[in-house]
This record gives sequence, structure tokens and C-alpha cells, in this order.
Amino acid sequence: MTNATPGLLTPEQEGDLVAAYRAVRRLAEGCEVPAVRAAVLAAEAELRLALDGQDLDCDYYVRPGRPPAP
Amino acid sequence: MSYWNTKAETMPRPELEAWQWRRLRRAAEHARHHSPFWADRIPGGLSSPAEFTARVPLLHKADLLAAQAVSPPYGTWPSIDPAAGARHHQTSGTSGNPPVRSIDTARDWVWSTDTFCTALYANGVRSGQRGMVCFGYGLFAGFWGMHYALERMGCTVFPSAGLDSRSRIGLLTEYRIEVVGLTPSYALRLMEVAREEGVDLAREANVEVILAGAEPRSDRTTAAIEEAFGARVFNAAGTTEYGGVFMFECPARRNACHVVESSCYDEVLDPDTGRAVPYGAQGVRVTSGLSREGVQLFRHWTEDVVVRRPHHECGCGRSWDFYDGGILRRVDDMRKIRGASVTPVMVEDVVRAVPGVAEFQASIRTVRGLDTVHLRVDAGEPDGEGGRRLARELADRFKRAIGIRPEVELVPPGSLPRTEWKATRLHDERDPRTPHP
Repeated sequence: MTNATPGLLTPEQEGDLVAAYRAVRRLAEGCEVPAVRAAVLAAEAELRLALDGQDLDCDYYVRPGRPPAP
Repeated sequence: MSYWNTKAETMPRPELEAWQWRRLRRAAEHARHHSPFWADRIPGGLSSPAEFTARVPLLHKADLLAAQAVSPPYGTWPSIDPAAGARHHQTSGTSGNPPVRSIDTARDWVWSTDTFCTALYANGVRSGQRGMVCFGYGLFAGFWGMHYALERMGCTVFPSAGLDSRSRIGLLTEYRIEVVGLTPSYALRLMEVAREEGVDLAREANVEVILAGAEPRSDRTTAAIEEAFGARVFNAAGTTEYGGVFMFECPARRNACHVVESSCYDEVLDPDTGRAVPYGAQGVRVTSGLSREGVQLFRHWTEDVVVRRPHHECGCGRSWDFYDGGILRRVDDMRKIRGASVTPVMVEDVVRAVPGVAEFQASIRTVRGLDTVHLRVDAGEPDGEGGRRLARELADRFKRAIGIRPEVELVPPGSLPRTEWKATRLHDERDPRTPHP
């Protein structure tokens, strides 16, 4: 574990954040359980903001149209 | 000093500007490909901020209204299918124009909330505190973002829509609420009701931070609110068109309102020439959004008059530049009265200096060919001599500060409008066809 600088993410934490985002993106695309899909979409929105705020590239505008119904 | 997002708020300036450009280019591409309105206005292949400002035209409110009118309610403006929108909001339409309608995705609201968090955290709000938002929670976006931001930060929110002022004062004292969001006008109203109820807010309540936005205010009004509540008042601003908070006041320097430069790319332009003005000069704020996906703004001529100063003139460590004094006025707020330039804040500054004034309305009229100012003042129920003394003091102060002696009329207590939202206290009732040099 890299020592943390106050207020900044460690490289490991950055990696975990990117991995978490990718995982929820995969779930958002494939999940057909309405309750889970709703939670995953909410998590995706939160993680996308976290990534963007740390200047970590993400597929920012991935779904310009209407999302498929859960 | 601690920050809500250290990386974004303290990024070295060259990195910040490079980041802004990457995000601006990405946002512009999204708009160009998904919004018919922006497809007509944003050329492809933009390679630098300079090219962006040279080739993308300024956006005026009339342009948005025209885009909406093509196919109401949203027209050609959105960059998403409106069916994907999670929230609809709209401006109040008080100017007589149709409202500007916005449609946001759930992701837009996460971002918008975060901009409020940035402001609140800078103002000292922390997890575990209690907050009350004095706001109608309606179609107007207003303080919705503050409500969600308090939740997001781990605070306990008291949503007070529908409560009257007495009930809100009761909540403040009973629950020892530390954070309050309201307009300056409504803060003055709460102070007035507290006086009537015999409540000393500074002693009996526990407010530490007041986020007072949505209206320009004078320093004197700020001081009066701070004294009455025993709390620090901070400025912040956002717009329905933009979708989030674009500036917030820093505790490290009074009246320094940092631009949330991680989310917007702001220019300050000379209203006559359209050219960028240097730091320290007044100009009009022109903004481009970097984060929103539902409806997007590029080079929006806000009509806000600001003075931008470099970040290092504030000692907080943020690399975000700031607007000194926040929004000083609107371009169209300035009135000429017998050659003197007068703004609503100037009038407010004079009137609020007179002890006992609870509310007022000012009108500019033409009487026998001469511009005059008529002040209607609610000062409670002063006795005859007290009322005359107050009217005289008010007229004297007005004359000294603005150069015109107003006619002062004392009106019955409670007869002037009180509002939670966007009070208008200076009215120009002159014939608009007559020039007022």
C-alpha cells in the first residue's frame, strides 16, 4: 500500500475506483433485475463523478439517449 | 486548510487549464453530436481554447428561448432524449419572457449536488451538523442542490418548504440547527419575525453558517444578518441554465467568490467591445459548462457584471480564480437618474444603514419632467416625531450617497411584500422611450 497524501488518492485507490466504475458499468449494461439495475445506475452516476473529479478519464457521455427500461 | 476535493481545487494552474480544455472539448463534441441547436453553433475540429472562443458564438437567453420555441417544451437545446431526464426545472419567468426549461439526467444531479458540496465544505460545513433549507422546493432549481448536498455530506436536513417563518424560527431554536440556506431577503424577514416573537436568534439559536444566495446584497445587509444570527454569511450562486453552483465565497478572504473552475470555463468580456478584460477590470461573465450532459451551455452571456482576480490573491490555497464581490450587478440593473448611475445594491446599502427599516420599495419616476426617487419604507410603528426623524435621516443619507434627495413615505407595518425568493426593490417607472442620460 502506498502512503497516502492527505486529500489525494493513492495509486491503488485510483485503480480501485476505476475498477469499481468498470464493474458497475458492466452490471448496468447486463443486469435485468429492476431493483439491482436501479441501484447500479445510481452507483455509476456517483462513481463517474468521483472519477471525473480526480481527473481520471472515463467514458463520460456513454448514454446520450434513453436508458433501456429496467 | 482542507478541501472538498483537494485535487480539483488545488491543481496547479497550467494543469487546471489543460484539464479544462480537455473537458470543454469533450463537452462540445457531445453537444455537437446530440443537440441540433449546438450542431449549428459549434464547429468541428476545435483545437484550442482560443479557437473555441473565436469560433463559437455568444449565447444569449433569447437564443435559448428561440430553440425551445421550435418544439416546446425543450426544443432543439437538449443533448439527450428528454425521456432520459430525471428532473425538470425552469426559471421563474418573472421578466415577462417564457421560462427557460432545463432537463437533467441523474448524473447531472450528482454533479450539481457536488458543486454545492464544494461551496458548503469551503464554508465550514461538516458531517454531523444540522441544516435547514428555507425554500419552496418547486420548479425553480434554487436550493434543491443544497438539500442534496447536505445529505451527501452527512448532515441532517430539515426541509422547510411550506413552513411559515415562525415555524422555521422554532426549528432553528429547538433543534440547534447550524447551517441555513436562504436568500438575503428572507434572512431579513426571519429577523423581523424573530423580533416580533421576542426571539434573539444570536442567543437562542445556534446558526453558524448561512449560505445566502440568489440575490445581490450590500455589505451592510450582510453585516445586519450576521449580527442578528451570530453567524457567518457566505455568498454562492448558480443558475438554472448552468445547472450547478459556479462560484462560492471563501472564508479566507471576505467577498472573494471562487469560480468552480473544475466545472466551468469562464471568460470576462467588455460589454461594448466583446473582448476579454484583464484581471481587476469589470466585465460580463461568459460561461461554458464542462460537466452537464442533459442541456449544455457554451459561451453563455450571463449579463452578470464581475471583477475577476487571480487565485493567489486569496490565501486559501485554491488554484481557482475568484470574482471580487461576487456578482456586482446585472448589466441591465444600472439606472441613470439625473446623470447618476444607480444600482439596486447601492440603494439597499443606503436604506439598510438606517436603523429600524424592516422593508422598503424604491421607485424611479418622472415628475414634471424631472427624475425623482420615491421610497416607501416599512419601519414598524414609529411615533410621529420618530417617523419624521427616520424619514429625514434616510433622505439625507440617500442624498449624500447617491446625489438625489428622495421622497420618503412611511407605510403601515407589513404592507410591503416579503418574499423568500428574488426580491425586487428598485423599480424604474419612467417612460422607457425617454432617454435617461
